Amino acid sequence: MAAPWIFGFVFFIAGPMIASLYLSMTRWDLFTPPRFLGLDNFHALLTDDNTFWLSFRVTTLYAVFSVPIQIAVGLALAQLLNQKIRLLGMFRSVYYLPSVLSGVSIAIMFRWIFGTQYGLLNGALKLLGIEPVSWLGDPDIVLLSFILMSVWGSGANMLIYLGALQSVPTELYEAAEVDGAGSFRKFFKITVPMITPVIFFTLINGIIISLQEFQTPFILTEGGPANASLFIVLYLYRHAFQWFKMGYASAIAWVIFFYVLVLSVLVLRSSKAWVYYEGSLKGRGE
Amino acid sequence: MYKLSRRDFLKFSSMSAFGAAIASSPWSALAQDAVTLRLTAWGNPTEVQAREATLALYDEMQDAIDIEFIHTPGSDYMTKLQTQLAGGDYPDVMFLGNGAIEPFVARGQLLALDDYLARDNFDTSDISQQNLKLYNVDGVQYGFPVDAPNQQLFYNKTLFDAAGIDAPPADWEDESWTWDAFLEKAIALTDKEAGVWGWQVKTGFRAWWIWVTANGGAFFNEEGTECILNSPEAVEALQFLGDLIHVHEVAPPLDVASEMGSGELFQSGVTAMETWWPAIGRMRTNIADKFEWNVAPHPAGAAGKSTSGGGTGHTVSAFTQQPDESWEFLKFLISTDCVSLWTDIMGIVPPLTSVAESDVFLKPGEPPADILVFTKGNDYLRPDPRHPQFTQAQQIAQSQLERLWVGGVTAQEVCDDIVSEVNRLL
Amino acid sequence: MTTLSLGRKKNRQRTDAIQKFVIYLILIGGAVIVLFPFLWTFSTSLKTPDQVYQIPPQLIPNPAEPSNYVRVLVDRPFARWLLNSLFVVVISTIGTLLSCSLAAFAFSRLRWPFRDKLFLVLLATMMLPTQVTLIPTFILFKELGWINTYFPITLPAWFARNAFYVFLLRQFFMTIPLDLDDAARMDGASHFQVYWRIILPMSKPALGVAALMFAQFKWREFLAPLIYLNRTESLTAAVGLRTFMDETHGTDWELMMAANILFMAPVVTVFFFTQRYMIQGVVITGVKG
Repeated sequence: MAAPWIFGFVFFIAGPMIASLYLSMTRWDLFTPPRFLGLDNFHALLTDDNTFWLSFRVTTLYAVFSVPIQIAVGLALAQLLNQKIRLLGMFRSVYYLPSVLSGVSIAIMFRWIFGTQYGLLNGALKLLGIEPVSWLGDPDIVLLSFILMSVWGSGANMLIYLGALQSVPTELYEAAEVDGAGSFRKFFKITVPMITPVIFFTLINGIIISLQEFQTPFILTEGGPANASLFIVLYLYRHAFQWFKMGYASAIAWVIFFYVLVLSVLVLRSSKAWVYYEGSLKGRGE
Repeated sequence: MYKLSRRDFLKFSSMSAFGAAIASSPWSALAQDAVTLRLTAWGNPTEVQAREATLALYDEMQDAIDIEFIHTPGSDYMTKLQTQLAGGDYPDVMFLGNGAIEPFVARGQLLALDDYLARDNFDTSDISQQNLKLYNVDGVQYGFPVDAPNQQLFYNKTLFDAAGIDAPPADWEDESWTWDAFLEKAIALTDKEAGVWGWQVKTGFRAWWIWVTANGGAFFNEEGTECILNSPEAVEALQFLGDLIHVHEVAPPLDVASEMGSGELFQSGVTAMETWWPAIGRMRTNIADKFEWNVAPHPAGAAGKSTSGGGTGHTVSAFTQQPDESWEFLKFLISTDCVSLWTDIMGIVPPLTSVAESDVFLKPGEPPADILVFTKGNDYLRPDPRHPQFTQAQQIAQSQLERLWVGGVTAQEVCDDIVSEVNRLL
Repeated sequence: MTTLSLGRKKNRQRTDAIQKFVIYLILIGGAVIVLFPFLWTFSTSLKTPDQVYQIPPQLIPNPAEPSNYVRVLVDRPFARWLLNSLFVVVISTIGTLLSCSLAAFAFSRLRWPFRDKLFLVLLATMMLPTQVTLIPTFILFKELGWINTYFPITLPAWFARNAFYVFLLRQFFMTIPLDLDDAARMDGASHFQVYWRIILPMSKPALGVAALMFAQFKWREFLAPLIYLNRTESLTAAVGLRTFMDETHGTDWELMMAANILFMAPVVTVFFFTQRYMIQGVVITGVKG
């Protein structure tokens, strides 16, 4: 029954992936025939490219903070919006709104929110008596601004968790209530464990997505100031389409690939300890 | 198998509610009577309007050639074009920035026009020679310019008058217009209480390139083997610009500028002087009668006056199946009729002397009064450096210079870093 | 009921009321933060070019300029682009739901050789930045003669091209107890029947989530339609939206924002009216088994 996927994989995905792996071992200007270099690109990339390591650091820092925050905020929102309250549909729609926006509009909006003089955020800080902050102009702060921006996208996680919460059997809650458990206890002892497969999903997915962040920095800061928001894929993009160095760009891509793969395998390994599968084949001693 | 599924799919979709939406869409094959040329270009709605108007004109003039216009949004144009070219899906005529000419020629992607020029005895004397040269690599012509956009100093005359300051001289040979004179005016014009700045330091390459070249600086050495942006001339120029923000405080810090939309400061009357490419039409519409404005050359540095610029042009793909028709179309694009129409809609500086001298461009009575600054400026044009690694080197310079604009470092430190990083690339 | 439990109930009601109050406070506060930028987008879409650049910015434009919307719809074929997008979204969402749920079923509830290894391969397909597979993929579709058609952006969806949704649905399927499958199999149901009659109906919330997320992703998808569609009238709205932007000549923000509102409106409307059915469509039954 996985046949359509296997067909799709072999037909649409495998070929281009192998092609790019080959290209990562060549010098290719996108037009004249590629010249095979062996592992030279990888060697140059890992030992002699300070800008690459800078972008590696920027991207990793971003992922380390943004992924857990998005999970926590998404989960909190889902929990809040999974009750009988007035205007439920409206609230859900409002919180899901940011996920509907196109990348361009998000970037434009944040230019306005993070403005130094008339920005919304500094306006709010002013009320608290805090000096204006240069959110996008200060190399030490710009990454923090991107992390704050990522919270904005928590609506997608919220939607996934909302779906997951529906499948938590209600009698578990009823049983807990009989035992006198409060909301917090119910949340951490029942809700969270029951939806760990889905939390696991958002964690892996969050790692994959955040390490490939591209569009917002591309439009909002172009990697600046002074490369402080140079995400890896932005650096890759410049090599590929602006500097005619597709071979080197492919090498960067495959380094990202292995980085994400290693992280995912680590999470996958750890999942046996914390993810609970109601429908697991393994738990049945087969 | 593929044909079957396609037909089934087609049948299915035409039965669906969206049949109407796809009836004339890519599902159906193109009818091909006349020769169809594919033209790729980018552009905002105004440019698309100019494009459609000129294509309609071409359509009226002849029947042999149809043009299929492939419009791609600006920032993604190169991504799509390069994918098409690498994938062997060649357009016939391509709209290209002059900076892309050299790398495209190096990869054998552009058709040399010399044989056609000779065959038709085509007269290029009406084309601005400075701009024509931008599409010439090693003596071979590869395209024609669509505009001649050298960057000049735009100023808000109303602010000058209010402060009782003389306007910058429009005469390119006026030697009194120096950096000191400029600084004096910028200081006198700045009124932070009123939210007025004398100047805006724009961070794009061409904005600072004017100052570096005016002072006798260069990016690469003659042989192109070394970056020499840390020469005393270049460093002095960049330090001068940095000081405008941090020492003299006559230009807004970068974050303040970008928040207000660095492209809009001049049009909203926040800056008294600013470097702009000649978006004259846009300025006329946006400024309207909010204030009076005019243009002048940038002040002279140690090596005299200078301007930067480049612009865009039309080229023919080396792999076109219809080189003759493409050449015919290219001739139309540089014809007086087409350039006049384009200039009229876009409000840019035309690449043809005949049009630049006509009222389509001059529009007597409309600002800027000294519009001839642009045409005369062609003689002072210092184009972008030509070097295979230039785009990447420029990005390095851009990122490093941001440290100077943000503040806390000297131009010397930044330029030394740029040089060592760029030299590693060469 | 005893008096004791009655007292507890009263107490319970009071804490409930406080809790509700706090929840509303948080929700409304958050909603204001989330909504403000949208209000700004809307307000910009009603401004004249002059008002757009006004400093400090105005939130309520006076006078308002609703004609920006007319210009977007008349000057550019935006209505057509919206229709194209709708078509692409509907076709590919159906394909994704069917093919991804099938694959997810196989990866979560069937045993077969190399299953777990292949699952890792499936995950791995999400890990390579698409920028570097763009050109090889383009060459593939060009060989198939698919350039300038909707095939490249619709057909792969029917073959579970988006591993994300296989993964998502697999995770949901794994929360459903296996006993259900076993019981059905004992009644002689085939794998497909288990999938169709038991797993899919039980997974309506998950399918709803996947449908919403995929449709929304497809609605915003930019790179593929940009690369594969050439004719102006066949563009999707996400690409068309970008044609209002221009770095060199300057963007007309009021038009860009009006186009943006038109672009978002259908998705928001669909979400608003379907979220209830999608998310609350199924109250889990039959789990007691």
